[in-house]
Amino acid sequence: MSRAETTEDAPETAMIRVKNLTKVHHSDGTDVHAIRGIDLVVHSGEFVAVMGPSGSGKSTVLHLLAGLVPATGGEIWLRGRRLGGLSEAERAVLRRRHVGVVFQFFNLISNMTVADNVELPALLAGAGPKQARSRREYLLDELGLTDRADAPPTRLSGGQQQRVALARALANEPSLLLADEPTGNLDSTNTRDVIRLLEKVHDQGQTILLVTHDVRVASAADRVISLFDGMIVDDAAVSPASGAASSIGSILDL
Amino acid sequence: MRSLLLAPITGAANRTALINRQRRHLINLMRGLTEPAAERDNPIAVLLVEGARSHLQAGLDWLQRCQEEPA
Ligand SMILES: Nc1ncnc2c1ncn2[C@@H]1O[C@H](COP(=O)(O)OP(=O)(O)OP(=O)(O)O)[C@@H](O)[C@H]1O
Ligand SMILES: [Mg+2]
Repeated sequence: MSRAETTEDAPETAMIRVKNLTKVHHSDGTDVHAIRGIDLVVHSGEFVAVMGPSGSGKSTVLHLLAGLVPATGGEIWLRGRRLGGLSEAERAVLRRRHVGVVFQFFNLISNMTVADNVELPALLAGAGPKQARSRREYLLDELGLTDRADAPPTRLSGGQQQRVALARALANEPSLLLADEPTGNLDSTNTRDVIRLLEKVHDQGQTILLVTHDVRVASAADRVISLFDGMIVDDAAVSPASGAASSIGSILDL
Repeated sequence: MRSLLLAPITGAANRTALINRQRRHLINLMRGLTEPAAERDNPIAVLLVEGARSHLQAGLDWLQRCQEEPA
């Protein structure tokens, strides 16, 4: 089979297609092989959770998929567009229109209000002010943040900032949501609110790829991918366990 | 779980397979608990699910530590 076509834009329906992806970080004269040959297809509408120990390459994969750092080897297609074939500016446009990103460390704009932080991506993507505002009101309400709308992010707790970052990533109804531990700083109640919102947008067709250590978040996904040492070591569909051994009584040994 | 502790004797590939199987199992158990979502209004049921959730989370965290151990 010819591989010549792999450098073209792919005429297909996959939201994400990754072929033999590698990433080497260079720091202080040493090479860190963070990603060591990953193949992956994520279809439109899928909800995929990525798990793995610290340093296994989860954030690096997310940054590569967002087109924020260049791959060392291999190829990534987003919605059929090959990232390596796009200019920096074209990648920025693709991201603004089609990708929402929640970073592990939020990156909120500190001299803007929470409301403006959430509305900005929609406005940048060309939404009208009215539309941006109603989407923002909806998202902040879903995440229990309505009363913090006029505060600057610096006056919010870590967990609140994390939820603002999620609202911001969903503001322009992106084709693809990429989120790095979106419940990492949240208590049980706030985690539940985030999962409910993720399930809601997923039901509406949102494609989601998120990094998590949380069993509830992972169990809400369609599929869980496990990374270890820069490689995928497991890729499994989630399906509810049933039967006597899966009852609460048996899990808790009651 | 005991088979996981014995896995070093039988090799790393086997250990990865055991960890994968156990991880899938814990996640599917969690999905089985949240799927019905029927008794959201029953505080006792909510507490029981919360207890089961923390057991499953501990299992997952432990598996990750097993993974990080050199083979
Ligand atoms: N900018 C960088 N420069 C040099 N090395 C890096 C850089 N970013 C990541 N690394 C290294 O690449 C490897 C993968 O890092 P990555 O941040 O992707 O891990 P992770 O799975 O997200 O971990 P965590 O669960 O702690 O967030 C690690 O060894 C890390 O030290
Ligand atoms: Mg990370």
